[in-house]
Amino acid sequence: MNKIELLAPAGNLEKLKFAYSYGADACYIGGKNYSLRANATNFSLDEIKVATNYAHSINKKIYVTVNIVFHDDDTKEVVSYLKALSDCKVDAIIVSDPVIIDIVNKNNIDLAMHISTQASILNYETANFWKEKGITRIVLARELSKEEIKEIITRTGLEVETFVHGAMCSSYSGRCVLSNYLTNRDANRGGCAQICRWEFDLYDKDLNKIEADTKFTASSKDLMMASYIRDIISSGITSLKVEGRMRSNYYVATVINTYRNMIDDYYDNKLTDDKLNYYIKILNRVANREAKAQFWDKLPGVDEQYYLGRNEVSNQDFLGIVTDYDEESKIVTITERNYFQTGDEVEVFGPNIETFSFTMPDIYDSEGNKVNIARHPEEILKFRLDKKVYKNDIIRTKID
Amino acid sequence: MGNLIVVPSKKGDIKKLLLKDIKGLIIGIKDLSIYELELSIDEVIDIANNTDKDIYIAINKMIHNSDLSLVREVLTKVKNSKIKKVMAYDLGVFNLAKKLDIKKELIISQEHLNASSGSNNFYYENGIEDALITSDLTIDEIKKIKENTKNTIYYTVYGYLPIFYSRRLVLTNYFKYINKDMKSDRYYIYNNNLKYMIIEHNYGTIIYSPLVNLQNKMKDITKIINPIIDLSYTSDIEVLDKFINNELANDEYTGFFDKKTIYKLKDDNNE
Repeated sequence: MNKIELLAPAGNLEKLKFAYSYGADACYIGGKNYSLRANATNFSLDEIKVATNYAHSINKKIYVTVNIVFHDDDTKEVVSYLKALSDCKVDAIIVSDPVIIDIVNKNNIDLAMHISTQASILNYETANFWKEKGITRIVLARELSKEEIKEIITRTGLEVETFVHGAMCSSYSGRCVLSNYLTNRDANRGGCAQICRWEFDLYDKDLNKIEADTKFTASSKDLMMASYIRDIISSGITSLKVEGRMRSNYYVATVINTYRNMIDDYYDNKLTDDKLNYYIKILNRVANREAKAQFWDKLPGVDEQYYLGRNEVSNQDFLGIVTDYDEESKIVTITERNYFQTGDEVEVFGPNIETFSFTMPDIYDSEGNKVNIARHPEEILKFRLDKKVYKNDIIRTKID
Repeated sequence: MGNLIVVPSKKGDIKKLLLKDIKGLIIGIKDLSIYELELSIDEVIDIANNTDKDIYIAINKMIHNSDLSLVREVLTKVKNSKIKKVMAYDLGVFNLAKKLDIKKELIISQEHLNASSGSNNFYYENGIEDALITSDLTIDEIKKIKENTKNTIYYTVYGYLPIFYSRRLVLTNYFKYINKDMKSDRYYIYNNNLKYMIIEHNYGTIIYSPLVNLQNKMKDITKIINPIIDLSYTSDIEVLDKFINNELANDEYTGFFDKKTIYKLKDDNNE
């Protein structure tokens, strides 16, 4: 049985390697141009080549976003860019503008194409329109219910990719240019200023201000579909996509590792309610904003909107990352991220181990001095641990 | 006959509008349109039967699976009617039109997604020969598209443009959160002294741009594009006479006509 694909975001080469090692089957990345995260680090063509070779060497896939809405000036060098992506042998490009489909087809460029969520595909007739143009996969709009998704799958036979986790646009994708109008930054070319998260005074039709402690915003809580993972896998969806090319290594590792475990447990018939609740707890802990299932099972209401402004929870769970383990001395070396001390209950997780917890023993600095309190992010620290761990395993606060 | 195409805001205005020197009307179809005025397809066919002006229909709401049966019904009725053109946002509508062998002229009207010569050429080659192009283009970009395509190009020269469209009931949710009644049929937010209207519909919430008025720019574009005047949520149908008579306006909001958008905050190339 083919397992559902777990598709991770990767903002740079390091994040890409983290995502794969923590369980992603595929990653999506953006080039320096033509991607809807114009202000992320993104990948140069040389880096795309390196990333693709790396992915294929470990039997993983890589997709490249070319999903801006093109203006004429943007199309000048895109042919050579697409040919270069083809030469890199990326597994597919993710597009929203038909100009790219036209260029690929007319120039016989060997690239599979997926339609981006930016095109907001909401129905099976639209999906079939793209199928006739040779598209093999569609990334559905995030505004669809499970019944709508199932009907599209049944009536098209296309591979369907859906977002399951991460930030949400409040608008249908592609139909929002608030950023253009309020800040002159082009939302459909990767410059979105996230105006839907801004707060505004609200006025009625007579221009009387609505007096309230909380200002008006269109902001949405994040998306998390973990609680419906069984339904999602059995619905016929091909790929589960996690949002967040600009997120941290810790976030990507935690979210991907958690969904990996959920998916594997499902196929092994081991996904008990207790396990699922534990996974959801982990996902809730790593998030800096509250997350909901959004449109999967109902139309979102007030509980799915976010009214806390820019106040986002700063996550302190990420304590450190393993850089070395000496099997003889059983000494772990880590780079510290957040405060912890001897006696704290912590746990370690990673792609090659079962998550396990332990009480933090004595802690030493790189000179061998006992410190017992870790309070300097990026400091090299050491402690003894009998169980073997691996480079890039992550130490975090214990999650009960 | 003039070249202005008008989106009426009230059914009662239609007779008056048809007496003016305009090319025709675009009328939103009930339950399938985001325009203020929505009529049933039978009502629109009746209007088309009683005028020599062009009558277009608009299907510009986001189309979910559950809307497709109504789209099919509308297109089937359009097939042998006097309705001149079908304007739609969702490509599924065009797929259905092809299946139903609708010979009417089709207009792609993806407000903010259709921004290049290449995208318009793609649609042209796929049988969609008319295109409403995005409002966030400059005049120079519009000229380039006109030079490099065969499409008939439409551009909104007057109206409140939808610049945010959500399936969420954003206002209802907010009023629930602050525990107050929602009493107004429209609300406003401000930014940089410009006013943005928010209206909640049964299908979701739309935020509109400030009132765009390109009256003073008409000499630059009137030979390039087919100008659309969208009267939705305005009550001033007399503005039409000002366009017809080439009158100049006071300093009006012109959107991106002379102003490029930016999207990269730092200069960084692919290599």
